[in-house]
Amino acid sequence: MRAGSDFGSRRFGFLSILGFRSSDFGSRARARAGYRCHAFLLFTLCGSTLAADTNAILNAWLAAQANLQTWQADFVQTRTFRTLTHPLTATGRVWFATPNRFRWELGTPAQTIALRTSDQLFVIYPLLKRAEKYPMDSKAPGEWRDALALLEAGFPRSRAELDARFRGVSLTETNGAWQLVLQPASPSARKLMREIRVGLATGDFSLTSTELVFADQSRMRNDFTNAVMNPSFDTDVFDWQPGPDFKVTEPLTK
Amino acid sequence: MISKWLRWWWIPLVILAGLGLARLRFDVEVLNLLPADLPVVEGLRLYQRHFASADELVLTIGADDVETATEVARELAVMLRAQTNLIARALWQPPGQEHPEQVPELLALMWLNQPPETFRQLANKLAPSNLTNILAETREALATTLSPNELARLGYDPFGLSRTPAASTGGPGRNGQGEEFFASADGAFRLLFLQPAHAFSSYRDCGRWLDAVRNTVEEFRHRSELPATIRFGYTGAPAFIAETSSGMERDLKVSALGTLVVVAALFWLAHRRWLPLCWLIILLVAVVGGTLALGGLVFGTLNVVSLGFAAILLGLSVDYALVLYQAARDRPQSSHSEARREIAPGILGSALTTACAFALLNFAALPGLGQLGTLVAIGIVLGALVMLGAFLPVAARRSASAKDETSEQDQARPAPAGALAGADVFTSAAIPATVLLAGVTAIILWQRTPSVDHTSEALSPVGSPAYLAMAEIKTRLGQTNEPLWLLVSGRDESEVAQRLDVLEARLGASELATWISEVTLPSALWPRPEWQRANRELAGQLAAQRETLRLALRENGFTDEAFALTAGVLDTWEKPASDSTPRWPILEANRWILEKVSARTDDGWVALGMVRSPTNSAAAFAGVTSAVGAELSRQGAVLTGWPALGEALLQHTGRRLPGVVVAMAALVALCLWLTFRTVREVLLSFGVILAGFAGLLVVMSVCGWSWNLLNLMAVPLLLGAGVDYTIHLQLALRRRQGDATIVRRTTGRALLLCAGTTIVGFTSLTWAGNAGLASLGKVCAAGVACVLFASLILLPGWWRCLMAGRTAPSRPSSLYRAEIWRLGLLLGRVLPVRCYRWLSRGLAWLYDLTQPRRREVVITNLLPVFNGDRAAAERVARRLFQQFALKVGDLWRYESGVSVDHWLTVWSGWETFAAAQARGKGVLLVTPHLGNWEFGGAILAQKGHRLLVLTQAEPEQRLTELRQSSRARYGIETLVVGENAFAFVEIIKCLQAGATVALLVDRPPPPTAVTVELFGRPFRASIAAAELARASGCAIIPTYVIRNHDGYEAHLLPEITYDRAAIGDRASRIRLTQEIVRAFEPAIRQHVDQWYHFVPIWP
Repeated sequence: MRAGSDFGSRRFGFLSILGFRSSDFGSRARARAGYRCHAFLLFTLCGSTLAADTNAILNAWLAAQANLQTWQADFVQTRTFRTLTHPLTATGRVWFATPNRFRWELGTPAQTIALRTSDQLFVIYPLLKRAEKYPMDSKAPGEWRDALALLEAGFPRSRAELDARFRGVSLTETNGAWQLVLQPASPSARKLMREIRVGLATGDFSLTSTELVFADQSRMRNDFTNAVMNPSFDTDVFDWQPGPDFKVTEPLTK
Repeated sequence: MISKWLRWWWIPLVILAGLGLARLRFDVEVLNLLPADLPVVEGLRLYQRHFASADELVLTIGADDVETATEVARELAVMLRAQTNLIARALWQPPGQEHPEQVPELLALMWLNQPPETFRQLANKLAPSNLTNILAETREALATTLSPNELARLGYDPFGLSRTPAASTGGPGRNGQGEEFFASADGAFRLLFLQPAHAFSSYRDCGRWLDAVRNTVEEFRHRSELPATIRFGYTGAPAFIAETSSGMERDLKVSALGTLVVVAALFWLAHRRWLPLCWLIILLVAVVGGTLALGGLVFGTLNVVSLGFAAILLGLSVDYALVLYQAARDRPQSSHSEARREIAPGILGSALTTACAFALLNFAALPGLGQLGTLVAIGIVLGALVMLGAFLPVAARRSASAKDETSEQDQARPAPAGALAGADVFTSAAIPATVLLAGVTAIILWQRTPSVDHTSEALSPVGSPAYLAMAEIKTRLGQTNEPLWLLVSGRDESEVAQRLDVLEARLGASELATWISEVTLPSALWPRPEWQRANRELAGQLAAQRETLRLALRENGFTDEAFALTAGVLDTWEKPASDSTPRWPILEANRWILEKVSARTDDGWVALGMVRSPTNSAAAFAGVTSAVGAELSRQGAVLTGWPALGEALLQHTGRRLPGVVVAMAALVALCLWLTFRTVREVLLSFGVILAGFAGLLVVMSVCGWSWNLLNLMAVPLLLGAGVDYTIHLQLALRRRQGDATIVRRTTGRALLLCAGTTIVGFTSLTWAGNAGLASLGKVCAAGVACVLFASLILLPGWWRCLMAGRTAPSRPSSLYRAEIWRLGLLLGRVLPVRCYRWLSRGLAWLYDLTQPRRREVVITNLLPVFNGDRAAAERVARRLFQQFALKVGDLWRYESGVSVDHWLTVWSGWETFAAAQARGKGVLLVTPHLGNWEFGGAILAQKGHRLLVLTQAEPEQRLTELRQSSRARYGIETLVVGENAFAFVEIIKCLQAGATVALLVDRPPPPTAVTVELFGRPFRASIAAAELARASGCAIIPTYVIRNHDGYEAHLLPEITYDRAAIGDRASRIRLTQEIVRAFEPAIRQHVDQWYHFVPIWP
């Protein structure tokens, strides 16, 4: 009955956050990694004995955020499920623009697109002519907002905000990259997502990977390549109007 | 022997009361207050009975974080489950989450409920040759999908069995299998659903069970050392029942006892007498207890609102005692029975009127109020009878020193010389004040009219922790926009399923999109017997492919965990099924889901659906009902919901209220007419009520109160309760002939106390446990205060204006006419004497009863004889009517020709007459309206003396002629003098010729009237006798003929002597007139019940 227990709606809940929140996290993290993760790493590693240095670096990192306007990269997404004997991989591309717009394209040609504007998120299936719309404003359920806040926590606007959202678990160096393990401070967010693992280049602290670990040990990992900071691209990439043949649903609307 | 048995009259009453109290039950279901024939109420009752989990307690847990809330909920559920004598089931999360292995059963049955064509498509899809393709698609989707739903589902449902064609349309659990029913979005607020281990036998049993649960929870808190930030709340049916029942007891204890205490305090402040106060309280308690017992006998079960009767009843019943007590104090020299006799008509009249008004609440919109009305009506009548019968005998016992000074002063004050005396500043200013107040009222109401509350908040409990807990649940679980419920009934599962399909299509139509944003019907879950039978064989074949499916999964890279759901579905399909009985889920988690949307009724099945509105549920209800109401009804469906209740009830009330008010007004008008018998006084009563109502509107407007479902009933209640004051006050004004000052000081004082107690009674409802009842009490208290103001301040002035010159009938009765006189003469000839007298007595009784104004005139005329003792005057007045009827009967018999030879039994003073006549200067026989003076002529005629009778013209010429001809038959000559001065010349001639002339000395025509004194009061008498004496020198002999037991007796009093020369001036003749009048005082006093004056005689 173990398999049966995995069929419960609790997993339904956290998995429902998984797809697009990870993209949100990834795009923004990549964009800001060079400025912020350096300080954050030091802060997490050194703990209180190095608190003064950490604070100085962290503040410098936060101040540098203002330089990031856009970011884009290619990625390989690896999904590991308990119900599959082997992981599933897919490639794609991501675009990001401040303050919070992004576009994820998964598959070549794109089989799934995640598109976020300021107050809503579309998950589009071009081949199936189908899309799902999720609110990202105050109308979104609290659980949803918690998860979103959790994913944005990698890019804190302030030190207080960072401390409020995360607890540092560990920081290790592996293969020339820092592996920062964070745990959501919010119990409700922790109920959905056990850990967030952030990979940072040791040289420039640019974002190399993100990995979300869920309660049933399923994982979604994004490995970024060809990252470009502040590229110029047409912002129309964040706009999407469903065609007449598209069926748009709102799964969170009661 | 009979009297011996009569002594035990109270035993049957005690037995009846005991039976009533034994039968008494209390109903705390608020829906039972509402009209059962209203569809929305019918639907809510159906919903409450089958879907609201009538015995399920909802325990709320509030914590600072999700982990604490979850942990507390889980541990508490475990602890409560262990209390098997207390809890049968404790759910802290959806059963599907606790037992996810049971979910496949539901999916399997949902597939079986699909049309055969759809199920065949599934079978084709799962054909062995197709499995690889399906699983490849699943893997592709798992790799690329960003949909939360698919990511959650596909890994555990690689064959897509959880995607039934109708899955998207319904049933609970669509979003997480009901998790939203158990926890807030942030998880820090959780619910536990507790099912009691046993059914509740009574509301007290329910309360005890709830207390036990509370104790267990508190023990858990103590043992687990939970911080104070963990909050527990209790709601759901058991909590409401326990709270409502304790609220009822509180209402009875606090409201009724509080009212009793305030009533006692007011009584003490006003009268400062212990004995009457204690006796009053005892009687009030007896009245309330008796009413409760009668209520038990009549209804058996009393609802929560009806219990408000006690406070209202106390406030009203005490009025009768206060009026009685005030009447007794106003007449210190009268016995209590005399005081009671005087006041009884007013009390009975007002009790009847008020009881009728309250009883008419049975025709109001709310049955609950009807029961309240009946109880108050019963109680008022009982209270009036009890107070009339039992209050004064004990309460009026007092020492002579205890007499009330004010009352004595009032008593000593003579009745006003004429009607409408005693006007005070309030009376004089009443009309300008009325105009001023009307203007102010119009301005205030123009600015702001009290609004109408269209919600059903009036039915909500006040300050109820259970209600607050429910409100928190709605807020925390995001259910602020309450949906409407659609209940679909049918004889069997097939019919319900068919109707669900029809309704799903109809309610989903685009023309209803304005009102309906989402319709959720349990179509996907509902068993379809025909399709289950049709799909059964194919399902069995699929179940047989179990190993094929498992192998396919392994071959396509899935683990065995991915097969769990599929295996569960196949297990269900494998189980044998009956041909006749549709398959319902048997596993607990699935039954829990089905119980939320389906129920078995006495007539079949009912399914529950949900209709959400894009804006307002109440508006949606109105819109949908008007658009497809008939079709819903045809399909056995009822649209209902708490948001719709307020508007529906208001419409229902609005339809019936005018009828109730009109009927009540008609009934009150009838009762008032029976009491007053003048249109003007009836109109005055209504004027006071209207003024009071206008005042109430002003108070409501200023205080920002609004009308709601329950306080709308204040309109008929005020009509019934307020009319009392107008009755008592107008009757008092009549008695005091418009003397507003003394009426305010006596009756007004009693009414002030009465209104005070009534207001206290209604005000005490403000603390009732029901919001509507509280607002009803508030509005009624304000309304009664306004009516009291109008009664005491404005009414005397209005009465003075409208009743000027109408305080007493100044002319003889309209029955004194030729036709009736002829009929009397005819009956006098044909009826036997005994029969004739019975008839006379009966008619007199009827006249006395139906002509209160005439009776009042008689009483007023008699008062000076008794030195103002009204009670004595009233007693004699009743006898006087009887005597007069016998006199008229005898007169008719006499005038119809019956011999009166044997009627005269006593004769005195004949020698006086003989001596006077011997002088040869004529004899003037003067008599007042005392006894049967007409017979005097007949007696003289018998003795051979001719008599000339001087009379006034009768009301009709024909009657005058009729009377003349009747007298002529006995040789009596009649001279109608009227105002003809020449008639006197004729009379003087007759007297000078030695004739005998008879003259009535009282009630003279204006030209001959002078004011003398009789019984110490100015009295208008005829100076004609003195004038005739001066002109003719005749002898003046006072005489009278009165009726005794055996017949009649005639008395000639000593001659009134005078010096003819000394009466040349008018003043002397007036003095002679005074002497004549005074001569009759002893006779009148002795035979006052034969002193017949039916028009006012005192100037």
